[in-house]
Amino acid sequence: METLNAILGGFAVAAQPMNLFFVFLGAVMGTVIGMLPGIGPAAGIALLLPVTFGMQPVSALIMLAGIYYGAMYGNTASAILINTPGTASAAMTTLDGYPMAKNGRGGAALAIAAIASFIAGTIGIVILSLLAVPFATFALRFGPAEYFMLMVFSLTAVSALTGKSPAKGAMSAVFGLMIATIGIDLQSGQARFTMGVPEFLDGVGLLVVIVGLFAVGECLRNVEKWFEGTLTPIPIKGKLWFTKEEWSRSVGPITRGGLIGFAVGVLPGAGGTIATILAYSTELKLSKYPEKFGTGMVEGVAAPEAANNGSTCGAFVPLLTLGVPGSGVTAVLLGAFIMYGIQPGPMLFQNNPNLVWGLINSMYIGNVMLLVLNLPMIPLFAKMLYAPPGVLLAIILGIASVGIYSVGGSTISLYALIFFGAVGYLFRRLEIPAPPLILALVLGGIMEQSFRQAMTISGANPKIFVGSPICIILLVMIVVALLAPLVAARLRTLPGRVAAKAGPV
Amino acid sequence: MTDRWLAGFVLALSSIYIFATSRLPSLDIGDPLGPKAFPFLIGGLGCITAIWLIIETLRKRPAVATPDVAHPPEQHHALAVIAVMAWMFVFYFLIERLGFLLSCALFLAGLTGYFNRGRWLMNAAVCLGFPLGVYFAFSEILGISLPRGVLPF
Repeated sequence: METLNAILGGFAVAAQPMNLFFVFLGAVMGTVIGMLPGIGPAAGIALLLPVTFGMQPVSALIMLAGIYYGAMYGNTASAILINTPGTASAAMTTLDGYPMAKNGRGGAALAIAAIASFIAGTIGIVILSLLAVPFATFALRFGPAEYFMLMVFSLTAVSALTGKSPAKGAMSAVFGLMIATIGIDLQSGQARFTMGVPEFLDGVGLLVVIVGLFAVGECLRNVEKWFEGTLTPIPIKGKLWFTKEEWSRSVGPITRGGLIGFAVGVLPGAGGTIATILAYSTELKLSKYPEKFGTGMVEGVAAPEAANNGSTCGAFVPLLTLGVPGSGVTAVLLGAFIMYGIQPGPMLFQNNPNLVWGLINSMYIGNVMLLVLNLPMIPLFAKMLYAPPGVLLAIILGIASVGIYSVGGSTISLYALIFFGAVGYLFRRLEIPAPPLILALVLGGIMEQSFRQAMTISGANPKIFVGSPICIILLVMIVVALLAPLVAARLRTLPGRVAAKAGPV
Repeated sequence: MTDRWLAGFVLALSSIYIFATSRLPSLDIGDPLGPKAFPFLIGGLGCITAIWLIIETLRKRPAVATPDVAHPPEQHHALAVIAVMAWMFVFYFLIERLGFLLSCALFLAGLTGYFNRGRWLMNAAVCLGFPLGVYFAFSEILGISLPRGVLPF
């Protein structure tokens, strides 16, 4: 009953005119950010974070979340029209989406993708609403040792599963932890690793690292790509709608894809890309005509599009209920929560139900808006794919610089931005995934705190980390996560060309 | 081969990190572990990942026999990347000296002039519109004033 009241209260928050406006804004920006290859939701959210500082936390989070799931709509258009996924989780959509566009069914592919995203997104939010309270209640039993193990698990899973080499993923996480220890140690007051720079006493700003790694790093990579020339989009032919036959073939893949996506999204590390691969290969196995996949099968668009939206909703479960994100984007969102002075986790549902439920319920509204936006407007949005890359590059660097300067207020943070941009560029060159670094940076402080609390409780006996059933289960999950890349490697080689497409997130 | 260098770099970085940790003054108050224990763990983990990567490169050797036809070897234009970073540095160096409007316009003019050659009208619109739009959006809506510099407004 109490929960029901909280949910209804959330609707009241989400339906405030101001918040409706921010849902809309987030959805539109998400669509645009998702569509443009080279700027993903993590960078998009990081770029806009500075602008949200004067806003109400609820409104800001509603907008930032809108960018996240809106990007899952937008990334489809570039996948279908120029054979380049806007974000990695649309990579599978290119396999059948681009052939559909070449066959003159581009409009149908875009429409089915929008509908699939909407249905899967809505299913996902319903399950998220149902799971949130039981998850949060369970998480109340976690002590510092359990929390530490949970964060180790999340970090292990993300390191092992994003990118091709688990060792490089782990390196990325170690870098993140090292950066997290820079600054004053909150428990002893001891300054650590500041290298004599007074600005570092407060630690290295999360925003600088995120914007540098994702936005500036990607821009620098795009400088190289610029020399390789650009791709021209296939014009959308025919009506922006699908036939009855295409629809009836898509219902199953959408439902299955949405559920698979949600389940995978809840698990840390796996995320959108693996969800789409699983959904696609499931349809491949179930289909009577598996040989036709890759030639423009509508199932091959519906399933992965549903899966990536389902996984977005799934990813909110650990973020909101446990306070532990399982991917790069949700780590950035956790960073946003922390910047507003809000600690997600089980207590949030008790202390600030309006905020949580306002955020969750705004997603229903956001999904409806995205559907309405995407169906008639997508050809208009797709015009942006013609925007000259040189101009986009300049504008993104401009936004990144202004954002960091306005938050940091000094040129020191701007020079740090160049440094982390260079790191981001090198990460891309060396195929080191960036999400583990961000996750480690966000979690590092809390991890050390719970580690030391647990050790204090146990009198410096490390056995406390295997001292409860929950800890032991988490330890088993950590081992499974370490072995998972072997399974994932096999998965990636499944449908031949898939392997090459499923790059880092 | 680059991966071996990377492993060496991480090993060196972790060693320096462990060394720096060992030099931290330890205050025997508060929790039994103090500020050093966690960094030691991280440094140790860093060394492990370096060794792990070396093992990975050793094991991968025979497996990489199939050339990737879909992805031809990319050409790297490291010089252009360094030039863009240097240009960013110039922008940041000037931002408080010249003011945001002029330095940002100059920054954008340089980038669009090279990467969007020949489309003067569009480039001029971006170089004027973006800084002005951002400047006034920040001062009017967000209440943040960006450096004014040499301009009177």
